[in-house]
Amino acid sequence: MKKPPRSWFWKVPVEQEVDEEIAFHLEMHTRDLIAKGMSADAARDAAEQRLGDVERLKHTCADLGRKRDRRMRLTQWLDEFRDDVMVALRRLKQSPGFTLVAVLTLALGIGANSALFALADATLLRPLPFPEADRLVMIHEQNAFGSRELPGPYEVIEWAARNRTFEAMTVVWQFDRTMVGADGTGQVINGQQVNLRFFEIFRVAPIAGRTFVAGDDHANPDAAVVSERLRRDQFGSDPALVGRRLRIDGDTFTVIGIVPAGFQVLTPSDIWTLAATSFMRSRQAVGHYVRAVGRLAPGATLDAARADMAAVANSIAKERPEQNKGHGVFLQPLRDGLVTADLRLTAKLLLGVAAFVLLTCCANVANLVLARTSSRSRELGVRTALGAGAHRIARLLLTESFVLAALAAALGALLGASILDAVPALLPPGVLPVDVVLRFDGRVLAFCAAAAVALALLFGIAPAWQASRRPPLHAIGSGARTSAGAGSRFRTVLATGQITAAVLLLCGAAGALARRAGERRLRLPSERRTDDGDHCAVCET
Amino acid sequence: MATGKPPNALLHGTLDTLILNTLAGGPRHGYGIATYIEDASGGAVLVEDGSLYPALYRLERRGLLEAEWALSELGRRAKFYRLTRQGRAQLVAQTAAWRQFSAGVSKILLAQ
Repeated sequence: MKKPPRSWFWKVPVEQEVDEEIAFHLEMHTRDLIAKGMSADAARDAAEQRLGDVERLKHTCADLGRKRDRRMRLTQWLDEFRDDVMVALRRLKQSPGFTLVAVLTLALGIGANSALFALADATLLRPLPFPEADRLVMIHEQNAFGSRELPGPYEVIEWAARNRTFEAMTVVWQFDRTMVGADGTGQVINGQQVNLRFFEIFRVAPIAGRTFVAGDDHANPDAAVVSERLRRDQFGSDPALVGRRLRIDGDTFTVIGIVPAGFQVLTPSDIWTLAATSFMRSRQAVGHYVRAVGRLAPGATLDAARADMAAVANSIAKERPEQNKGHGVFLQPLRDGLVTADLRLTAKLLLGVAAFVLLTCCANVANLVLARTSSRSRELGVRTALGAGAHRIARLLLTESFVLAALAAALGALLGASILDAVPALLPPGVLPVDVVLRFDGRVLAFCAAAAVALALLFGIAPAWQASRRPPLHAIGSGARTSAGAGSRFRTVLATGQITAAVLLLCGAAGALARRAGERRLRLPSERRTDDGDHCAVCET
Repeated sequence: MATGKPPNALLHGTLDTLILNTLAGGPRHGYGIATYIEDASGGAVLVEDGSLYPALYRLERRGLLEAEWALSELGRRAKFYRLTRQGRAQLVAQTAAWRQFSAGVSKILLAQ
C-alpha cells in the first residue's frame, strides 16, 4: 500500500472524493459478482441496485464530508495555535529581561487605562443605577436674567400640581444633623428632606418596613426612612429598628422603613424625612434652596415636558407677576444634572491622557520587539529554510505578541483593580457625585482584554510583517550581525525611562485635574455646604 | 455478498461498532469493510451499502476514523480508512457495552 502525499488528499474537493469512492465500490462489487458467474450487465445492475439511490447517497456523504472538513480545519488551527503559544512561552522564558520589561510596560499602560475607563464608564457611558433612569429629570428654575438657580419648595409644589407631563416630582433638601446614637452619644448624620413620592420616583423598594405613602405628611409627619448602612453602623444591624424612635437635634422621628445601603442620590444621605409640607406650602417659603427631581409620565418626552413646564411657569408669572415675572423652568436629564459638564470634561481629558500613555507604552514595546526580531533573524531564517512559510513565521511572531499582551492584560487588570481600590481615598471629597460608583467589574475586564488585543496588533504587526518578507538565505547569512547585547540593553533603559516619564505625566495630570475639579466645585453656590438650611436660604435670595 | 438474501436491519449504532471492529485489524476501503463484515458473520449480517458510507463519513467527522488515499490490491486508487486512537478507545467501550447488553437480552430470551 503506497501512500501518496497526504496533501493530495486535502486538495480534492469533497464531491470528487465521494464520486471516486462510490465508483470504486461499484467497480469492486461488479467484479466480484462477475467472478461468481454473473454476466457483466447483470452484475453491474445488481451492484447499483444494492447501493440504492446513488445521487442521494452522494449528496448525504458530501454534506457529511464538508462538516468533517470544517471540523478538521478548526482542530488543525487550534493545534497550531497551541503549538505557537507553547513556542512563544518558551521563547519568552529564554529572554526573561525582555519579557519582564515588555510585560511591565504594557501592564502599566493597561492598568492606568482600565482605572480611567472605569471612571469614564461610570460618568459617561453607564446609565444611572435607577430603573428607567432615562425618565428622571432634574428641574431648575430660570430667573429673569436667564441663569439657572435652585427652586424654592413652594414652587415645586405648584409645578407638581399644575403639570401634565410628570408622573411625580419631589424636592431634595440635604441636611446634616446630630442624631443620638444607640449608645447615647451624638453622631452627625447626613439626611435629605423629601416629598411623599421621592422613593416612588427612584423606584426604590424598602428591605424592611415601608417607604412614605399618601397621608403620611398629615398622619405621620415624623416618619423617617433610614438606610441599611445607618442600621448597620449605628444600630448593629438591629432587626427591630422599624418602629423605633430616633432623636435628631431635639426632634423625634419614627423609623418606618429601611432602604438598601447602595441607594444614594444627589447628596450623601442615611435618613430621609418628609419636608415640612405645611411650611413648604406657605408663601413665606420663598427661599430658593431645594433641588427638584421629577419622573416623566410614561410616553412623555423631555421636549413635551419642557413645553408643558414653560406654560406652567407662564401662568404662575401671570398670577403673581411681582415674584415670578420672567421666571422660567429649565429641565435636563438627571444624568446631566448629576454628572456635571466639568466632571465629564475631566473624565474625557484623563481618558485622552491615558490613551496617550498607552500609545507610548505600545511604541516602546514595538521598539523592543523589533530589536528582538532583528536579533532573531538567524533563527527565523533557519525556520524558513526548514519549510515554515512566510505566513507561518508571521503567525509565530504575532502569537508571541499576543501572549505578551495577554500576560500584560492580566497584570494590568490587577493593577487597575488596586488603583480603583485606592482612588476613593485619594480624591478630594465631592469630586465624584454620590451616584457615581467606581467599580472594577466585567466591563472593565472586557476593556482590558480589548486593549490587549489592540495592543498586540499594534506592536506585533510590524515585526511580523518585516520578518515574513525576509529572504531566508540572507537572514542566515546575516547571523553574524545579531545585535550586540549592550545596544539592546540601551534600548531597554531608554524604554524604561520613557515609561517612567509617561506615568509621572499621568499622575501629575490626574492630580491637577482632580484638584481643579475640587476647586470648581467649592466655588459653585449651589454646592455650598452650610450647617443650616435657613441660613443658606437667606443667602441665596 | 449474495444479493438474493433479504437484508437484515442492524440494531441502531451497531454498524458503527462493527466498522470500528473491522478496522481494528488494519486499514480497509469501504467495499472491503462491507465484505469483511458479511464474511466474518458467516453471511448473517448484511451491510446496506446506502448506510455504510454515511456512517464512515460520520465516524471520520467524530475523529474515530482517519482516511487516506492509497493504491488498492488491484492497483486502483481507493480511500482507505483506519482507526484513530480515539476510535480504538471507542471500540473497547462499545464492545464492553455490547457484551453486557447481549448477555442481558439472552438471559431473557433463552430463559425457558
